[in-house]
Amino acid sequence: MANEKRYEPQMAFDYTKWEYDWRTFAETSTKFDGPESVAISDYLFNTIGVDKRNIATGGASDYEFVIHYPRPNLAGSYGESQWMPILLIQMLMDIAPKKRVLALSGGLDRFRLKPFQDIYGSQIYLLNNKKAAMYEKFQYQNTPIEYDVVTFQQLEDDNCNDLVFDMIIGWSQDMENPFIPVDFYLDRLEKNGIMIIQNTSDSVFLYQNDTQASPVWEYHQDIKARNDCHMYHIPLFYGVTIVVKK
Amino acid sequence: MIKKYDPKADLSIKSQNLASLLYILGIDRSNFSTTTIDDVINLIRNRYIYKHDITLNIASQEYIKKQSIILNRNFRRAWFDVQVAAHEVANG
Repeated sequence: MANEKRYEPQMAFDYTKWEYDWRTFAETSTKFDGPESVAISDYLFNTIGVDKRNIATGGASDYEFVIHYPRPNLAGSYGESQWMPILLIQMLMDIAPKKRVLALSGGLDRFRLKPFQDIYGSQIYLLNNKKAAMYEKFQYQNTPIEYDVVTFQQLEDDNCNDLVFDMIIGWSQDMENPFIPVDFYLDRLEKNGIMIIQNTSDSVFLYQNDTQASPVWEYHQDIKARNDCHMYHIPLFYGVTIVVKK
Repeated sequence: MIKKYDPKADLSIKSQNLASLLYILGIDRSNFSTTTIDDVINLIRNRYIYKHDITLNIASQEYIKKQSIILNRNFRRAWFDVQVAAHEVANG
């Protein structure tokens, strides 16, 4: 516990002001999040029969019962570090509201997508994967969003004509598949659009020299190699990488 | 545009993903149906052997480690993605 304190300021401060009371929303979301996560894990392990050993190998975040935003038990003050990535992304949306948002990890970002839609009227698109399936089964009821579903096949067939977005939001794990490189998504980002990749410090492993051997390191290099994007890697909390299409 | 999760489309793309990984690992297609997740994880671990807890960054070790990490992560995800999508196709 003593080590964790170094991440927190000595005094709580609250100079952040929003019309949207996201703190209350977050507290309410937290109450939903626990039971929903239990229901999802029960479904995955006991109904479908997913191998529980996957949790021990870092696979838990693939199944939405770990690493939610807002995180369970968020600090009461916006000044605490847990809020930084949330505030940062909300600020980006405030500066330049996005109308077409593609969410790669569906329900994992429901507490972020709903305010986007409520405040800015964003059209939400969920990528067709198990995250979308779990959202529909277990999370939609408490956090309803109007959305369309986009399949990989549709994205491939469209070949960046109509299915382009001014925001793409996903998680590090969405970028680690060598068959679906980060370029696949960046090509579908409109000019001046932004892509947000969360958890990009790989829980700080990225910052350890001997873990350059990591898919996380690799896709950051891939983004750097492009000449049509600016990239900002921000080592807050679990790390956030923001890519801006020029 | 669809309004709901499409398990058949999901299963199709995730099966391609899994098959690609199995091919990369040199598993013959005739053995796909009998290959277990443990078979594949052990195959990766035995093929891409690297030293743990080394204090120096040795390029060859880093390269082998990278192959192991990427293959393990992606294989596990692909395996469970197929498992979930197949269940949804059968029971959705």
